Amino acid sequence: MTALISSGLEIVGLNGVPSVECGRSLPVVRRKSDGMYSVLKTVADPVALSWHDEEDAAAFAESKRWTKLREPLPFPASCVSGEDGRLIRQPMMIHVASMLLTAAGLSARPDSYRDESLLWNPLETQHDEFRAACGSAESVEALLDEWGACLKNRFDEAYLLKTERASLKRITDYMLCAARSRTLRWQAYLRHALVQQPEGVEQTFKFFTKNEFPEVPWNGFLGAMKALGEVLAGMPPATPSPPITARAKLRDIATRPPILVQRPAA
Amino acid sequence: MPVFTNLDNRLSDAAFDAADYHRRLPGCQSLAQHIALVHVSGRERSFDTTVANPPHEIPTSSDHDYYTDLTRRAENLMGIPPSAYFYAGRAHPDFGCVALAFSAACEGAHDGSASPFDTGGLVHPRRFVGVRLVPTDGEIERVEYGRNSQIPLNQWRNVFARVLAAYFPANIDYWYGKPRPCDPEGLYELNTEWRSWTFEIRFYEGQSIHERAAWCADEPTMETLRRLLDSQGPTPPGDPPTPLERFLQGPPALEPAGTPRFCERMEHWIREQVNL
Repeated sequence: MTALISSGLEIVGLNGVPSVECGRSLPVVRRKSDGMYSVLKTVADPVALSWHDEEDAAAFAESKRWTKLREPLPFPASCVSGEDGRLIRQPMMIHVASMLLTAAGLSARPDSYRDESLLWNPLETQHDEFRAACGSAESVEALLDEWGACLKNRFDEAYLLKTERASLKRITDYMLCAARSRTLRWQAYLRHALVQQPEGVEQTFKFFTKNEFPEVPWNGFLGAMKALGEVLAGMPPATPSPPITARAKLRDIATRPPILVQRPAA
Repeated sequence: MPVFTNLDNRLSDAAFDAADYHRRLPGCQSLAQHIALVHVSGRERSFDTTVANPPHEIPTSSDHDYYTDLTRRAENLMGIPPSAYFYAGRAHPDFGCVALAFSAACEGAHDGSASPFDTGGLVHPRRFVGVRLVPTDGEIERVEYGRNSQIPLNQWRNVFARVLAAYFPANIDYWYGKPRPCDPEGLYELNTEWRSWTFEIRFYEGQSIHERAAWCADEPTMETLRRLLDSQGPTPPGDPPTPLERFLQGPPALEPAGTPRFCERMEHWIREQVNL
């Protein structure tokens, strides 16, 4: 069996199309020696890969089976053996739209994560709002979860401020997109139920939440949702800076530049 | 000569292990009777569109949006009617974002046929499936080989069992290995890719997605379906379910939150069903 050598391949796209604001998908790679393309579903079993020519690759991109990057990406260093350049860990593509980052209170996509550098490239046929990068499968999963946790915090703050329901629901949609860990997905489903149309809560539970959390009965979910709503409503407002003491206030007044008050016109 | 022709006589050839074949055949027959058919869908037409709109089925190649002209060209050359395509027990992410598995029982409602390889690859202009044909490896010879390799739908499981026992050192090698390189045309010798040894099953009618035995999708597809359900709202009591509700009332996804490795997950489920 011939091993997959990173220097002989380049990442040229992702499997599928970014149909939601963030997510992960298998990389599409191009073999430099003969220009053939494949979805990199495994690094351990090269025989399991199927390779397609340029014509097929173009057709796949056209039919939205694949989404091409505007520029190829190198493999993440963590997926490559330092000895012989073999691929030793599964790389995974991650994509995110800037609207999700904004909703999560993040200013930009990270240049690196867990000591892995992330190069964010735009995608062909996609709005510039979307960018994709490649990391190890483990890092990508953790990064998605981190975004999910940021969205959770933003939701909790916004809920307390009685933000309109549509905005809150959008945050929970994004959170369900990003969250991968079981804990975070449970928290996302509860928050989503708090702000979705009440008639739809049981339906979402029946067809989605229940499948992920089969041990939770409907009444249990309902109780957890109500309890969360009460707790969130009773939370004190977020306090980003430490409380200001009277002494600090006096010091502030003493050191602040005087405000020049213009004498009113006579 | 197709890989399954005169197999009983060819077992005496040194390349085969006749004793091993006879020892394994009953197990292979059991596996063959139960192995699920898989179709990977969702790119040519988004899966939520297939779910939401009639006829809610995996169409035949008469559907020009769903299959390429290359599929229809291969069918014309080999005399295959317009078909819906499945692989026996294998799922490949190149074909979409949702893998659907159908049990053996669903074959009873169909006319169809099968081949012990990917027919599109055999007559593809790039000849993705290599064979050694005489007098030349021309299209005429390839088409004849393809025609001779067709198996009636009601016989393919028997042929599959014999091919599995004769050519594959172990049943698991159908997924993780490759067959012994000992067929006259070199189908198993000249190729290193799955499409040369995965059985292709064809139904001459569309297959309802509601009759699936299992399914698994990637994460964006699961999220898209959830949002679609959200936007529809619940059906009033007494009304028939919406197409999406009907789909979701069937077997739940193997990975309810979705996974980028939906094909591997599906194959894992298939092997579990046949005790592998």
